[in-house]
Amino acid sequence: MKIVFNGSSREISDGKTLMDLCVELGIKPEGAAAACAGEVIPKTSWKNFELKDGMEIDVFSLVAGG
Amino acid sequence: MRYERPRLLEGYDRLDGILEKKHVAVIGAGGLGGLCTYLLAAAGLKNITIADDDTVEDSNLHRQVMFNYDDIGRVKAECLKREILKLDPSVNVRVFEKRVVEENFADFVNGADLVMDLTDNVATRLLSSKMCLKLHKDFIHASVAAGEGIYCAFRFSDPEFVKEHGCYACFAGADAKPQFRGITGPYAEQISAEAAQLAMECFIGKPVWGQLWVHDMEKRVIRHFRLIRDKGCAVCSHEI
Repeated sequence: MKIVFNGSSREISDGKTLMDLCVELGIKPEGAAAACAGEVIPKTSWKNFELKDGMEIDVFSLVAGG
Repeated sequence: MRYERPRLLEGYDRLDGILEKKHVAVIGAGGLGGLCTYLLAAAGLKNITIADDDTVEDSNLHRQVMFNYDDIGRVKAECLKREILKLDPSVNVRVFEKRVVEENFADFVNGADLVMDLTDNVATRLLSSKMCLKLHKDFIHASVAAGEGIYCAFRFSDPEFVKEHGCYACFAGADAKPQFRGITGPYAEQISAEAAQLAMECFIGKPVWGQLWVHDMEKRVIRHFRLIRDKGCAVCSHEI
């Protein structure tokens, strides 16, 4: 299936969760935040958040500086 | 007429009148907090509390534009106060020279209508969100590193807000560990200005509460998201 990941189309296998995808891409959850279709996906939901065909997923870095 | 130009903008005609009566407590007087606080004072904010126990270092000067070479070694919050008073001597500036911790947080935010977390310290960021929720203080968070900036607004004065939108830990996680990265002066000051603008928008009633913006300054793209409560959040689930 295809999802839109950070604005670009990406082919992924069925049954993957957001956490699976992040692990696959080397994204550390403690240093990132995510959203689906414009709404933030709470951090504790990532393990159970199943990706579905056509979903628009944004993952961005939490930034350290001030 | 100092505020003639902003008053020409729709919604901003009453901004300086609103800011005159408001009190903003800012955590962090560095890359974000310095210019952000100065811009709010320039816009008409008359009551400011600044917390920062750091001193100015040579390595700050490329991006922390409120300070100069002679300030090296001086307390940042005091230097920022000096610059604000040069701009407008009628501003009441309180310097809170201690590190903001749970025990002194109520004292720090006493009388504030809005608290802005503009630090580079994740522990302070999580603490300030938690304490603002507990004390029902409206809260803005902004941070920046490399070419990315994040800013969001939490209306903790409304007890219903957190039920829908949660707190900082809901989207960042209670174990958030952002990576330390480099920064340029323009990147830092761009987000500093966006944080000041967000504060103004809060005060004039724009629908910014519960919203998060992620600014990829390298690609010049701003993404906008709605904050959602994490029902399993270790921080705010105790406050609901």
